[in-house]
Amino acid sequence: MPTTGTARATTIDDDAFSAFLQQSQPAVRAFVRRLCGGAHDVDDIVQETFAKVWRLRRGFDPARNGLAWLRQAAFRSFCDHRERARRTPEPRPDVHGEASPERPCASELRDELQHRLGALPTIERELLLGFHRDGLSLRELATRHALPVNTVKSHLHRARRRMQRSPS
Amino acid sequence: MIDHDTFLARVDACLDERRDPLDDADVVAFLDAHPEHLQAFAAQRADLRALAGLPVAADRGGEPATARRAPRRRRLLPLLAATAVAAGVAFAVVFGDRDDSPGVAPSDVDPSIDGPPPRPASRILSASLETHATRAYASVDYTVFRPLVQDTHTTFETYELHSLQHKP
Repeated sequence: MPTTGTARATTIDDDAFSAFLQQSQPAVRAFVRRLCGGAHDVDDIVQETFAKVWRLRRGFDPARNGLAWLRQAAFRSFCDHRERARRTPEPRPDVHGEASPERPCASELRDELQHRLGALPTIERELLLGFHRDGLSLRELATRHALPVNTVKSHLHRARRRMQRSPS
Repeated sequence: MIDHDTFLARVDACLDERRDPLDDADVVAFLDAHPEHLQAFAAQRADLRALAGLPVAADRGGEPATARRAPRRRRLLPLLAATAVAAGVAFAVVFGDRDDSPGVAPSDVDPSIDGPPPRPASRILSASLETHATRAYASVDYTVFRPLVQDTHTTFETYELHSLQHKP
């Protein structure tokens, strides 16, 4: 039976593959939620992903990292979904870019985020928040902190790296 | 196909321009070919989305702590190690000529004795207290010179505050 790690079997039957999908569903759902943001479209993308990998189950190599394979499939589904959504006339909430204070932030994620923010050097934290939360431009941040724009960028890039969580 | 460093740089460049990194075909192609980086990418995406939803109070106030100090800090950087830049408590000390000066009460002076009037004692007419917030990038030490006023209950001292900048 395959696991989320590397399996040694070279073939997989339908029951084992089904169990593998069931076992992996929470992780895939969490991954898609991170890509999409919130519950919006998550169900559609996860369903689409599992339907796709079920069709491709004969080509699944159990020697590979099964969860990475599922994430790859989910990522492709997400990109397809995103492309289709882009063609729809109605504007949809997207992820990066403009700060929107009214956007909900789950309390547990917020707490964890604040913890990691607190571990950043002051200047990096302020630039990160200024840019991504307050919507200030690089130039505005440069003026505000009396730094060259390129230095602001360097701090910002470092801050984004430091903010990265260890994969779970 | 771009390498990992280029991928990170492209993601940063997109974010700096407030574009979705997934609009960059090379970023998408890299992620598709390297599913082991999908998890971190999705996590960063979720983090940045959550940052945009953080309340202003999350970083202990809307005004950046470094915003007011950054210009001075940069200008004074070469001088900070050797120069006292601030005093926490500023005193306005006036050598008054009034008879009711503390330490020389009118009842202490015998009007029948000729001679120069007694030297008036120092008086503190006003004092202000300035709070210096703790900074991660600097430390301070104090040099106390002499007490301005000292009695059994109160001591006012003059001092210099030395601020030392730490390299990030």
